[in-house]
Amino acid sequence: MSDVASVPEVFSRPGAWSSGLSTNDFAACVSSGLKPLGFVQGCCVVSWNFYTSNFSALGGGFGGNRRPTGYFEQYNCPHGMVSAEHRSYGLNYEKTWIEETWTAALQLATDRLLAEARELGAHGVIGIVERAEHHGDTSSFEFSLSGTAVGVAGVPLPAVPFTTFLAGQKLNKLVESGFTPVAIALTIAEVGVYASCITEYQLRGGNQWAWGGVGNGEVDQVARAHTAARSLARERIRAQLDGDVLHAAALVVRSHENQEGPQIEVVVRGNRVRRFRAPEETEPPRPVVSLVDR
Amino acid sequence: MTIIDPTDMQQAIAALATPAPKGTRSVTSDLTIDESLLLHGMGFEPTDLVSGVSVMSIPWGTFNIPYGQGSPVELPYATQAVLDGFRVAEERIRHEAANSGGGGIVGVSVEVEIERLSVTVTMVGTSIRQIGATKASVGRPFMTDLSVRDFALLLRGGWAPLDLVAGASFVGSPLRGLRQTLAQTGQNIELTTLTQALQDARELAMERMQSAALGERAAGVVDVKIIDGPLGHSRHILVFICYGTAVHLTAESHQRIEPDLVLPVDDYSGFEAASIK
Repeated sequence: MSDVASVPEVFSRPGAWSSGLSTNDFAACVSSGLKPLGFVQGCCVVSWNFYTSNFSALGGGFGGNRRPTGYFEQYNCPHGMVSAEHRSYGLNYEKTWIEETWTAALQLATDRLLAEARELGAHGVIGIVERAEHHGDTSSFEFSLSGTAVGVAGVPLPAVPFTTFLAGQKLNKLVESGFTPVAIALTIAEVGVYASCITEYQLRGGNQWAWGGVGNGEVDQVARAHTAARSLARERIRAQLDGDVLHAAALVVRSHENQEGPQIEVVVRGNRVRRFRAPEETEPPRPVVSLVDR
Repeated sequence: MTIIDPTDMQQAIAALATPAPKGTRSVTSDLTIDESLLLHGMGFEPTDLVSGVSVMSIPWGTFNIPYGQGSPVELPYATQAVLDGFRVAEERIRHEAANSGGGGIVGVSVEVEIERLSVTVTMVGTSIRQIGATKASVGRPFMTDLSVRDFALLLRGGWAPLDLVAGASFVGSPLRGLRQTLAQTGQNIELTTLTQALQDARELAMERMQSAALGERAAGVVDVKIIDGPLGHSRHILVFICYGTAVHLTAESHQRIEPDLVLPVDDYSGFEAASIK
């Protein structure tokens, strides 16, 4: 165990440093050799459109509608009917233009956060808080990241400062268990459903006696869209890992319905960590009863 | 407070210059660091974050008021939609776990969304295996919604989880007749049809969960969770959904756990930073 005095650089910088750490996290980090250098932020506000891609990879301009290029499934009408009230086909399609916008905005916010950290000569940024939200009812969407830049005495600066959602004791436990934080990992998958006649009928409560028995059963098109959105998000985040481990992942799903059918958004976020030493033998847990009312 | 030696931190940060060995399979999990350590202490390791979703349709008219019925009646289509939803979502999450070489799934979070014309069942969890196990050596993955802590305690007691089992029932309560409604107006009395509907739904659902557990050759079901009450859009329909982990004894008998008593000397502040997991 060390104390603050063994990390003299903490208080040797001219002027005051800032930090987003709680008192507990601050104490734990300083004692473990992490020196807070400054509160750093990165943000990006983008125009967010669900149906057009007038925002092309942050290049601006007016691109108009784009054909889906990612996951795509077509469901044809089996009834052979031609009518304005009967959909002749249905689609599950990946909204790549939304994913691209989201990813590009995250990248810009991250780059800006890292640029601030580099200016401070930081090894990494800890305790990152991420915010992704619309500006009220407008189509403006803000991506913000903030955290505390930290330095470690006696270690060369890494090529890219590490980033992590962790801080304090949990970061210490991570290191103690043989992992080093590498980066925050976030990804999105957005899948839209244009319901086919069968799906529309099922979602409207079609009964089991009509249309060849499509009543009480699985709504295949929607279930496949949900499954595809989750798979895409998880494949994508695994692609970011490059052999590392994704720790404490959260899979957040938002789904809403419009006139086409259900629209599904899956966001996966977590800490990318790398094992830097072999796991030590961990003793089997010892059960205890704590004599405290909580 | 966990304090590590600054040299450990230096070693960790210096390791950023060395990428993971080529060909290493990336592992994903939703476990916290405490859970990861506990799991490792029990001889297991995570393999992948896995999920399963099912969307079942409910025929139009299912939730209409059952006019002309003197006693509560079960709504078979809605009930079957939930039971099928659980079954299919379980199949899918188990399939993903098996593909990642997992021998089981822990900490499964279950969400059941009941709409007027459909039911969505979602499951997300982390597949795990015994350290060193290969894809070929693991059998059909077990499944539990227990946390890693509860899973560890269960194993310590000589038990093992088998499967997530569920039961469900939707029961419609008939409308009161005109004479009965007038007689009860302004009185604080039991609404027997609603009580009976809830009772019926509960019994039917619990029986179904228990028979699912028997089908798994389980000795019992632990940590049963309940979703019950009137449907938001049809208040005369009482729903009762229950699910839990079917367990069986792996030791000869239950292993008595004798915990040590500890008296913490720190002031517990209950602090938990929202940004940290």
